[in-house]
Amino acid sequence: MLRKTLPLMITFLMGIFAVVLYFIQAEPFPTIETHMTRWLMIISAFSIILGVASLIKVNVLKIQKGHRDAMFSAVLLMAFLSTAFFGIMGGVTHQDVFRMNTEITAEKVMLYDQDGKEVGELALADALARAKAEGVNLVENRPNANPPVCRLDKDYKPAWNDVFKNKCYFIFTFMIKPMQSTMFSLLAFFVASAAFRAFRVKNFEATVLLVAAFLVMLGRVPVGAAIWPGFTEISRWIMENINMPGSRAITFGTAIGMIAVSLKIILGIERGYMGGSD
Amino acid sequence: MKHTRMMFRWLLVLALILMPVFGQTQDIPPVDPVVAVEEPVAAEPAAVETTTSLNPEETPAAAGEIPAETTLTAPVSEAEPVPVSDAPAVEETPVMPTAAEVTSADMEPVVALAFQVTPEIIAQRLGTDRIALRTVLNQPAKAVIRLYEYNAAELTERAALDTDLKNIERKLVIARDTGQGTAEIAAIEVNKAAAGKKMTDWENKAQQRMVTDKPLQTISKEAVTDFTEEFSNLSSNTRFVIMVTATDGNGMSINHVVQSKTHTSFKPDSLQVFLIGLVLVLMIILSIEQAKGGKDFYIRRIAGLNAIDEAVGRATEMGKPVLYLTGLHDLSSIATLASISILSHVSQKTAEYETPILVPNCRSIVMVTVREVVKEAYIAAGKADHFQEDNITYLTDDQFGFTSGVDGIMVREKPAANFYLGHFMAESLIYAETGHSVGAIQIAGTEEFSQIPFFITACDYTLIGEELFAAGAYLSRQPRDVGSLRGQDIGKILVIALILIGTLLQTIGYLSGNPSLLAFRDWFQIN
Repeated sequence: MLRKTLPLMITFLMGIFAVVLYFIQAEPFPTIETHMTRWLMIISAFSIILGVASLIKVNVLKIQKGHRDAMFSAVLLMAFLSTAFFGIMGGVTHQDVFRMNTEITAEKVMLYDQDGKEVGELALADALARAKAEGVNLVENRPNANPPVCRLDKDYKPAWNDVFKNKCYFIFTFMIKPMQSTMFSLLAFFVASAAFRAFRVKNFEATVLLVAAFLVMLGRVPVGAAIWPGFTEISRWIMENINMPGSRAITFGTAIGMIAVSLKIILGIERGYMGGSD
Repeated sequence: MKHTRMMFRWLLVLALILMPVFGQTQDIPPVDPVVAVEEPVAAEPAAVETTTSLNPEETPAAAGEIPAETTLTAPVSEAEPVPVSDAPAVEETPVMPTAAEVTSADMEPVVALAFQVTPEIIAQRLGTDRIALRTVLNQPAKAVIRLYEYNAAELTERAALDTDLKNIERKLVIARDTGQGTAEIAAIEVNKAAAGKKMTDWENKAQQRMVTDKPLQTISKEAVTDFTEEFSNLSSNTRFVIMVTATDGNGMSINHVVQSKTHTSFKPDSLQVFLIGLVLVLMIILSIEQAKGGKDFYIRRIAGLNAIDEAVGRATEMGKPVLYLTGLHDLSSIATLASISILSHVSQKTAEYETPILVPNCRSIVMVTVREVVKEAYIAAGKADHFQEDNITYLTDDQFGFTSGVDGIMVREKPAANFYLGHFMAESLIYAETGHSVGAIQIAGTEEFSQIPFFITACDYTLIGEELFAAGAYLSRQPRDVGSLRGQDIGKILVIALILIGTLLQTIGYLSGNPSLLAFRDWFQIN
């Protein structure tokens, strides 16, 4: 009863309620929706504890048992613990990493004084001179603005002046980000190897694929237009008149499939996600 | 032959790497039609003239119907008998509307005075308790925006915002010399709010244009006056009055007032969604009932699902594990739930064959569910003692961190069968190519259209779109599941019929000039 029926009843009620929420926006439904969203966030936050516990347990066991991958587990646990420690002790926000004083490279800056009042566009040298005269720092708040926006700030303390923030900043900027970029950049090579296999002429369909792909590629690189401007138009035509209808057909099918699965879950017909179908 | 093939591979890699390098020169800034240029501007930027539509006479608010003089209380009482139409569609995400999204159709001008500073206010109800408004003034000014909750008896001030609109740049016009006696002009709309407030990425766009082959030159920065703000956490389902008081610094001021539209109990334009959804739901339920009544339905063969047994069998023969991924999304995703349903079937097979199954997860709550599902499957197969909880692990929520972890598992464990079923993004090809390199048979399926080509290219079998959602029913072959599949197919036939009818009516309506025929298409458009 408690193991199957109760979850099915909760699923049914919540499913119907979600549908009602979509169509009716009168109170109390929006307020209840807000509360439900918060519950979900709280439950998710607790579930991360389970995830972390699992991660630690699996890797500690590997080390204890002298598994052949124990070295990787040791590296993972060290990285996890050190990142967590420095993150908790000195979490870094984007406001902690503004450039200041001589680190600023722009020729001109839009300057605001210590009270937040606009001073105007100044040459960097003039802005630095003003900061020096007032005995404060020149902090680059919005480096992407044109010209960059700077303010005079007496108390600004960047991340690299704090022992914990500095380590946390280092881990994210010089370890995690490059590693993420490395994984992502693998795609460039995998696209090439996958394309090589896909474009092998094995049968009629593969030949059509090869020709279509070749035309689309030619239409999208400058050398194609240089050879013959018509490649651009052919590429556009293939994408808009062949690719687009195909993608929309798949999208329609997917949407109807989602409706069907959702309905089966609400009605308790689909129970695979609960383990078993009975 | 081998060398030729190798050379071809490297040339392909080189071409793919160089493609974006050459591709950069293709991005030509769009030409703004309001900018008239006859001479190359690089030589004489100041000679380029720009025109804008900041003149209030060109705005909808200044169409001439606005009375010449009134007070704040007058417009409210005057506006009372005016029927207020329903608000436009409620946005699902709290996104600040841009100038293009907030249209004049959403505003109800009540009164404005023809002083030097003429504010225009456009209000849009975003939800039960949120209002977005855009204010446009015809010249730099300071403005106070006040929001009043409107009851029949009184106005209650709910929010006020002081802003200095003199520092806003509305449009940046840049140009470059093409070297052929002409200039390319890019006029970048600016949605930057007042200093210290929200700012969009217009400056980044400008920067991107600066790195093209010819130097770009800023030739005009028009000052002023476009300001967007959102008020939230307001009383639900009440009407609001918004007043802007603006001054140009010389004592000239003006009040301009609009009323927000009333928020309706039912989502606007939801009738179409409700009716179409109702028809689809009825079709599916009817088909399920028919199937339960004993009617036999034909199910087309899905090769990817038939191959599940083959893949698990292969892993068993080779003495290697099976790897199963449920995708990036959390349990709130239908694709993840569909994937877990298939996992239930796959893990029953691995239990029967006593083959280990590895399920790394990037969402901890999915990991907990997956453990239960796999455990149930092992119990159902009578192999509870073979269930290994530690084979179902959580790695990380980070997309590429997780990808890295899964790749590591593939390379170390060398699974003989890989299943990628659920929601995948850019990492899909990394999984598929790594799996291919370790010699695994691979079955993939995703509802994410952009990743389907990668899976088709690199995997042995791919479930395309809806097949992922049909898989649970296909594998169970229970009458109620088979019935739901037929309901889906009827739904697709319905959609195809509607598309054909719409295309026909649209074509006839266009050729004959009969606007009533176009109403069919318009009925399906949801704001």
